[in-house]
Amino acid sequence: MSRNNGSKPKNAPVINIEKINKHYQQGNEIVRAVDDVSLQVLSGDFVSITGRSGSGKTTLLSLIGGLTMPTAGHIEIFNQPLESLDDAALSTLRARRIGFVFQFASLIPTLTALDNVRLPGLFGSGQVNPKDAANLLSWVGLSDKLHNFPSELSGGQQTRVALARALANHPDLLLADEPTGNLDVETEHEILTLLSDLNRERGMTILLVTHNPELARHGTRHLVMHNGMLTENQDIIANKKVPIYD
Amino acid sequence: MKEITLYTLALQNLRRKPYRAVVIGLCVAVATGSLFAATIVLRGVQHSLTVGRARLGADLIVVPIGHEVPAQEAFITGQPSTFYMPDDIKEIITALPGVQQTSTQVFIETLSNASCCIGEFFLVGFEPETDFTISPWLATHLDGEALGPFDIIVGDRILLREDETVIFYGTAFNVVGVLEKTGMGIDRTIYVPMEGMRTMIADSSELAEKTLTVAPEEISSILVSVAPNADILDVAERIEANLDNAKVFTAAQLNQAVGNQLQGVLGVTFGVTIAMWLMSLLTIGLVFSLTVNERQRELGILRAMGAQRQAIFRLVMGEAGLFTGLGGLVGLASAAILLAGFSRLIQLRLHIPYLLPNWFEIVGISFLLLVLSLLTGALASLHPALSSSKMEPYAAIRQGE
Repeated sequence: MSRNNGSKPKNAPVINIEKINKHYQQGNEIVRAVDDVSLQVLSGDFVSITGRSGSGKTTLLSLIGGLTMPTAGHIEIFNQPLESLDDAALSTLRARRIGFVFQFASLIPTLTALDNVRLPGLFGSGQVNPKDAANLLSWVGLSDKLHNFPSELSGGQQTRVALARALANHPDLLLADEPTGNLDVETEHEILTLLSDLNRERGMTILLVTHNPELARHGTRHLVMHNGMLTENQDIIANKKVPIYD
Repeated sequence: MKEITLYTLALQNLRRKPYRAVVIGLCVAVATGSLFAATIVLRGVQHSLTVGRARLGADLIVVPIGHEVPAQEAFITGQPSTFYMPDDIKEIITALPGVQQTSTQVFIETLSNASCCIGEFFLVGFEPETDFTISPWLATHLDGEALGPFDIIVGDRILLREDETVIFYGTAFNVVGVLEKTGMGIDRTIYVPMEGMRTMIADSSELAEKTLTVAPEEISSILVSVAPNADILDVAERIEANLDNAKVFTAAQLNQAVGNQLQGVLGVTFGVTIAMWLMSLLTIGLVFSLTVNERQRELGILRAMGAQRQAIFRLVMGEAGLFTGLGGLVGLASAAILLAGFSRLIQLRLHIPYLLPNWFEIVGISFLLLVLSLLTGALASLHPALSSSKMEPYAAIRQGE
């Protein structure tokens, strides 16, 4: 499902961030959404990031995906410095190598589940074969919903379609921003299982943002974001049940 | 299975808000249709005048003083009008320098119960031996045969065809030719050789229910052909200077008369159409700003999927193009149907000469107006398209929260 189907070299740097900041003005106050963050993610990592609401998790994920630019600092994705890429190159990088899953309903309401999955082909390296799109939907357990519109799907089913869509262009990096935020526990577990499978069986590099420390345990590496700053949480990685927000 | 393209997305979005799509489409349809109708009518009038003037063939028309307006009305719309002046004027005019040829005409109105037609029609007595207005037509269509005194030529809108016999004021005439359509008064005119006309006038007291009282030495108009090296206006001035009881107008003044007649109507029509167009532009611009604003998150997600700025720009512009293009097509089709159905009524109500422009021109006008409607969409959606394409994907996604 990933471009290299797990055969890419292990430990190759996928994300390399050096001292990035994202500050913006809100009234008279300067908000430090991301503050002096450095991070290196290697190929095949499954990194989970937890933190309170407003701690800067989504902003960090958006910076990594090139959806916004840092106020200061340096970001390299697949050894490409984002600040040096123009819109076309950055868009191509997103289209071909990065998949996004959002917390909110992000499907195009006028397209069927199948066409939503085929949609990234419009911006990637070519049309997504309907059969491949159907296989992806089948993999996320929606083989019977190919021709349903988003309004005919439950929240969990929509998230599955969004996950299938994120994989349509065979990305090397998956950025998931609270993909299970609005789902029940059972569906949440199913989605996380799919992500774990992707990482374990396909070697896909995954960055998962979640507010749920239980879900963070699915990752191989856990980071905590607090007031725009990022710290490593070894306790979670060691599977010790300690409170995240201490 | 069909490929997914920006066009597919634009089309799907059009279906998302059908009411909005219909309102925008109608705005454009009304504006495009009105402009199409106004342009076709204007071009129809110009076409008719061109054809009519060519058929008329005269450079100058001399009528009794005080009768210029009804005379022009008669030539333009075929509205029957009767006025007379002595025929010795012809000799004076013919003798003037710059005058190449002259031919006289006598105007008579048919009775409303004439066997040929419903309502009153225009009977014009002409001199086959000097006529240069319909003679070229006669030479072509009568194979050089001389026109008999009771052989008549009829305009296209007269319900008579070749070889039919018709009686006016008790005198029988044979139809030997039908003139091609001009959209002008010629279409509603019956041309009778002067000899037959004089006989009909003389016999009317015995044969008709109404006696014609036109004296043998009376004529209604003199058509003048100016010599190739002479100035038309100079000759016109010379004629007026030599005659006390006649007035001269040029063929170009016929156009002027129509222009004056139409100026008010067409001015208001074009003014209203332009106002409608501006309203459409503002409405579409407003609706598209709202639409794009509502869909910021969706556009941000497309950017996250790898859509370039120009793809977002093209998507928004494409949607506008679809809205306005389809609206334009509907407007053109509706206006064409209405024009085809009501052209005669328009002509009668406005008292204008009207001849449908040729199909090449109609297609050209339609194409230009379709382009104009697409440009309207492009212009109206330019700002929302630019602003949404320039927006940072993260900001676009957050804006929808």
